[in-house]
Amino acid sequence: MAAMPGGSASEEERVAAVRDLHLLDSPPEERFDRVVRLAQHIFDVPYVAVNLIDEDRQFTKAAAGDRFGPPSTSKPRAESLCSIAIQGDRTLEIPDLRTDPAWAGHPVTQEGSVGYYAGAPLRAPGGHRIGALCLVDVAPRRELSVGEQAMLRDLAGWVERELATGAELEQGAELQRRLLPRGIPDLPGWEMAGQCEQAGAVGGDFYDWQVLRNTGQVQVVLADVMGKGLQAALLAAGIRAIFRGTSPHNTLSASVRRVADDMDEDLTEIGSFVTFFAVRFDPADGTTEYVDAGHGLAFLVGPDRAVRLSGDSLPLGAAPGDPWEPRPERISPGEMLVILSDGFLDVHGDPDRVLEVVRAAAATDNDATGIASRLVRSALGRLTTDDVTIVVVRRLAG
Amino acid sequence: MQIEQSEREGVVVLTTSGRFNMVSAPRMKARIDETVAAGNPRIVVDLSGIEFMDSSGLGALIGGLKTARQASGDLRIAAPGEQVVTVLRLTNLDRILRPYASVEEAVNGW
Repeated sequence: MAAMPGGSASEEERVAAVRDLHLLDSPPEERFDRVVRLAQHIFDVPYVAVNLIDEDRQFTKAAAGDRFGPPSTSKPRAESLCSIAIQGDRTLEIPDLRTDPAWAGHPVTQEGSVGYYAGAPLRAPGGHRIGALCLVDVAPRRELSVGEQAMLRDLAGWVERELATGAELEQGAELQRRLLPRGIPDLPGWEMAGQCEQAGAVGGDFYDWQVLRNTGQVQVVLADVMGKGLQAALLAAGIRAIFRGTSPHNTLSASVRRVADDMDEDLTEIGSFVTFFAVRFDPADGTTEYVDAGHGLAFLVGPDRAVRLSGDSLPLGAAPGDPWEPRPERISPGEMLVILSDGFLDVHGDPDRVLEVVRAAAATDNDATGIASRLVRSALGRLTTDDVTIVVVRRLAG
Repeated sequence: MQIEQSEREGVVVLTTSGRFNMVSAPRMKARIDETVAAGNPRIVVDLSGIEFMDSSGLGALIGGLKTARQASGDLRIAAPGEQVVTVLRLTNLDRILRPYASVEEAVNGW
């Protein structure tokens, strides 16, 4: 038997793989519950569970039947038969636990309530055996037939796919976080802040900024890829990379066109599109130009005005060949540019209402980070399952 | 979302109701694709019964528009409610998905 508990390198990797699933101590989920219910019905056993084996405990992610541990509870690994089932690739079946001499000393045998056990090991996407789908009966049972073995294996495969889907979403979330800029350009007389809070499943929001060395302009972009999951996150990564790479050498509209051209095929294939707001400003005098590719939620707020920066350009991926012409603007001393994702629209209803909320935040806090945080808090946990993303660019007064 | 299909003067009318969102959008897109594949690239989507449309719904309409135009047809939308109009206007997609006031207007203007 390989990989006994106790700290071998492969056991450490295995434990890391279990924890990377982010399912330990999580509440029950229908996607697992339906598999154990179905297995209970097919095999006609009183108890079926999906158990995950952590370093020193077994966590029951899903359970049908209430006899041997309800869902979302743990027990010591020493009292777990699934902990032993994961030591091999094949289903561990014990038709009569109480009379089988091989199991006479096991705590489960001694406890006495289990007559039959079958556990099919479950693999994480990386191949580590991280738990088991198990059938348990109080009485002994005949061995599973070849067909039943295959059926149990199929159901375990289904659980494994669900485990992988969760892991994919998690990877998407990580990818999305990595798309965000880590530093803020140091611009005397200006403040910038950005936040992207993921709500539920991974979305396709990102923001980015960069200083364009040859013109001295600062470019800021906020984009929202329609869709969820790894696919949206990957499209966002592609868009960000193309825009970052092309912008230092091209005008704003040429850079947007480049992104639209390069991404059109991918977006069409999966039926997605991207709303995109990109702006360039000269930190010396506040001269600004922007392209609103169907984004619609960017505002300029200051002591003398509060306006929405709108344009008539199409989102990327909607129809090829839009000119994406920039519009001129100027950020005056004391004014700030606020770009928000449409998660804010879900919460506040319409753009006028969003503008009111932005004005109120701008009047309450007087630094970019504080304003961004206040606006994000105003939206999170409300009626949105969308990401909530914001960039604030503030030109200091005087 | 409910989708009902009828035909007027060689134009297929898809009458929808309910919520046009992440759940229903793939079904709508598939229905449009099937309609075009069956040789009917002129489609009117009646949105009068849609209470709410999100960006996935927009994605399905844009995808449907592309499919219809590739087949030398077109996709028109009729009678969208206030929320749908707001979303279309905000994304500037009303430039390519111009809302018609009614199904009659959309069909007559072809």
